[in-house]
Amino acid sequence: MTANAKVSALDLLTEAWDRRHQIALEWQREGGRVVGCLGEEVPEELLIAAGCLPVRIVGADETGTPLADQYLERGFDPYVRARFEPIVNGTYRYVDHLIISNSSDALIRVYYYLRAIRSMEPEKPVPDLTFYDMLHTPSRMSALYNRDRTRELKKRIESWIGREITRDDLAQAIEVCNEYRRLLSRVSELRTAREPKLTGTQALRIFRASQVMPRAECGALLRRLLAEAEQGPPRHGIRLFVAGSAQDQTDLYELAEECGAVVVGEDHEWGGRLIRPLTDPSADPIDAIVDRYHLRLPASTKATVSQRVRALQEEVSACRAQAVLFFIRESDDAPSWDVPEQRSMLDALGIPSLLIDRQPYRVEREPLRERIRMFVESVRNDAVRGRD
Amino acid sequence: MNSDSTAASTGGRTTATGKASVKRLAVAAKATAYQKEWFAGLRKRVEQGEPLAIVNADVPQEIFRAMDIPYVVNQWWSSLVSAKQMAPYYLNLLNEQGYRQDLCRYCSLALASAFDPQPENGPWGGLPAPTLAVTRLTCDSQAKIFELWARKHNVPFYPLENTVPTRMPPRWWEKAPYEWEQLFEPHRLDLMVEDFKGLIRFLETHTGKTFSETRFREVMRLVNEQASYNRKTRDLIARTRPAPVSITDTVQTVMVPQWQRGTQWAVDIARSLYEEVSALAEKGEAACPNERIRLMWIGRGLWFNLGFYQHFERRYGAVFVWSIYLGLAADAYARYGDDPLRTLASRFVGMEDMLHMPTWNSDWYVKEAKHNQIDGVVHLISDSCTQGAGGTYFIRKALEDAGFPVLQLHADPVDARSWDDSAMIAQLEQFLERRLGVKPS
Repeated sequence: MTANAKVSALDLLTEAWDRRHQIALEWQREGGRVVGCLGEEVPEELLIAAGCLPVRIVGADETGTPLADQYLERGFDPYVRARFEPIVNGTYRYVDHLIISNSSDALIRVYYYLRAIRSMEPEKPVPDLTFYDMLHTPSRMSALYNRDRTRELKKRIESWIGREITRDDLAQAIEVCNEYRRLLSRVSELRTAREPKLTGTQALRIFRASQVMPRAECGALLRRLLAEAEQGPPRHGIRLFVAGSAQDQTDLYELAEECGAVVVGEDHEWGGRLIRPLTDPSADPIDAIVDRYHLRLPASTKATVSQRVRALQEEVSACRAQAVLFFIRESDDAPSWDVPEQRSMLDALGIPSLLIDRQPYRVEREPLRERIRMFVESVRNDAVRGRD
Repeated sequence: MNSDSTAASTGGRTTATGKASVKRLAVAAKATAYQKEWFAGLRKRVEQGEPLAIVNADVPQEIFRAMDIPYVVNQWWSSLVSAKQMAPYYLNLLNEQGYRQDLCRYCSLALASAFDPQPENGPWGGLPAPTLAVTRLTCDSQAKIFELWARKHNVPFYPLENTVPTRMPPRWWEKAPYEWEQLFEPHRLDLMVEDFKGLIRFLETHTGKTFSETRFREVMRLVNEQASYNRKTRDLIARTRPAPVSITDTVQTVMVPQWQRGTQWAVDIARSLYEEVSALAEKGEAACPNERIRLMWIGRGLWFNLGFYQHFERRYGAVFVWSIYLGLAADAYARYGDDPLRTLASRFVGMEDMLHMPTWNSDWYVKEAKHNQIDGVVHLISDSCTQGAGGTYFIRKALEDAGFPVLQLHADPVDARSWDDSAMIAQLEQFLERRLGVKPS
């Protein structure tokens, strides 16, 4: 990608997402390895230290999921299906390795099934598989287990690249990661400011681009973007927090913002969870990497209901959201368990919420548009009445 | 579980959708009667101030047994509620709390019963309020369900971790009893041992009871003895045509003592089951004298409708001779080793893998289908449980590649609300007639 000075950094980041497969192929042509990452706990620091390009596996855009439907039972939610499909249909044939993390029960099963495909149907284009068994219970036992698994993963990556990953390599990778996360954090601040300078859709485009391109290159674009965005106009709308299922497509945010909202935060894996916390550069690198992924607030799939209620309360407060939109896909059970108590908590705080559940992977805009518009409108009317 | 589906005076709580199975074995009636008696005793102990643990099925109950802590298994209570035709009532209570109707019901039905304003009207006088909750994080819903449950009763909650195997040695059933150190990765066993130590300390702290190493060794010995009888029963049924019993006879008679494992009573029932089946085999008596087709039932039992299976015996001479319950009891429980806690870990660390991970599960099903002279396989798939599905594509492929026709039925094992009896019977009859070439007798 060329950093064309006439094209905005946001456009370049948007283009990076659209060109994600080409970017990875270019990386390979220049002699680098590309490692697909499925699950939000794959420690990108290790891969970057090894000179690999970590790319998050993204849902199939428009091809449907015929192969996923063949292999996965109906209980797998559409987001899992959407990511399974391009792995088995060859879209990600080019990745040198695929690492799957223990981020949800469904992903564990995806690992089992992909492994079974490699064993029973070796002609299928499933990449070389590695599972990263990171545990989430906040205990010393899990912390030590995670350190051992992380050292094992490091050794495995070393076997791919044929050399040791040194402490210096890790320190540099940690700095690269921390730098782009600090920049993303500033992006987030622009979006959560009292007068947001970025829409949620723009923020999501930026966040997701960071997961499919070289992180140092992303950092350079983010610095430009921050300068450009700070000069931009303020965004007006009802401050909306999106909770529930992961969104790697912008459909929902676009729809909500077309209906008069500004999405100022979310609790899924393509938003603020990418930023926090930083990896401690002063600690032993393996300790620091493990702590970053292990001790952060767990995602819904690995959390109790109380943890998710507390998390939502903190996040909604931090971004001064006026309302919460729960968007949950069909069969996405973990966030569904959280919703009743989360909504009770919001009710007690006087924060209105809307639940849209049993949804497909791609948002069907028109059937939802009126519901979201009316919800945003009611929040606006309440806000006006409150001011009066 | 209990197949007595008569709608007792439960205040409109029952919805009779299924049929109870007809009990043919004396030991089955004995086991069920004991279970009711045991539950009454448990209720009495809890009333007198003893602790009560609610535990998931994959929690090491041997530890509770060794500590003499009364416990109820989540899935057992679900199966009982379902057999009593009370699942719709309880699940509706859960839905009224705002929980989606299509969430996993097998593991949340017992939680649903906790929302009953009159819990004493539940099966057998109702489930007493637990004083502890322990689960294993084998799916994303477990932490949710058990934490909600624990908070509902304001009791402590212990989640056991779950690790993922990256190695799959073939033919696990051959190595499991004695060579389990080769079967399961050492780091997984190490972690589970640590977790069990944490659980024991948790239980000691919260119940005031002491873990007895001596009693624990005895519990482990008894479990192995029980497993040895289950293995003999499985092998006997496998080699006997026509089969002396069907799964309607064995499921309860295996699972009631399974929840009581580690007791002499459980060993005695397992022995009695073997002896009664042996006697039937010697006399040439059969579950279905007109046995023409031997079927395998993969998946959870259809708890609210155990009578379903017997319809096909009467009409087609098609007998369900195999279920996971006796199969696993025969192959998956026995463990021998010097260190009892690590040996116990070896029983539980791979239970999930054996049952729900292809190709371990699919290879085992093929082995069992051959061993039990199976003609066709019926696989119950619960769409609300990802964990329980366990790679249905791979299971089907492995079985069909090995020459066993497979029918996949989609239904929830405990939620009768979505069960269409005539449609399910029609699917199975079509399978019998078209795939297995058998006509009504």
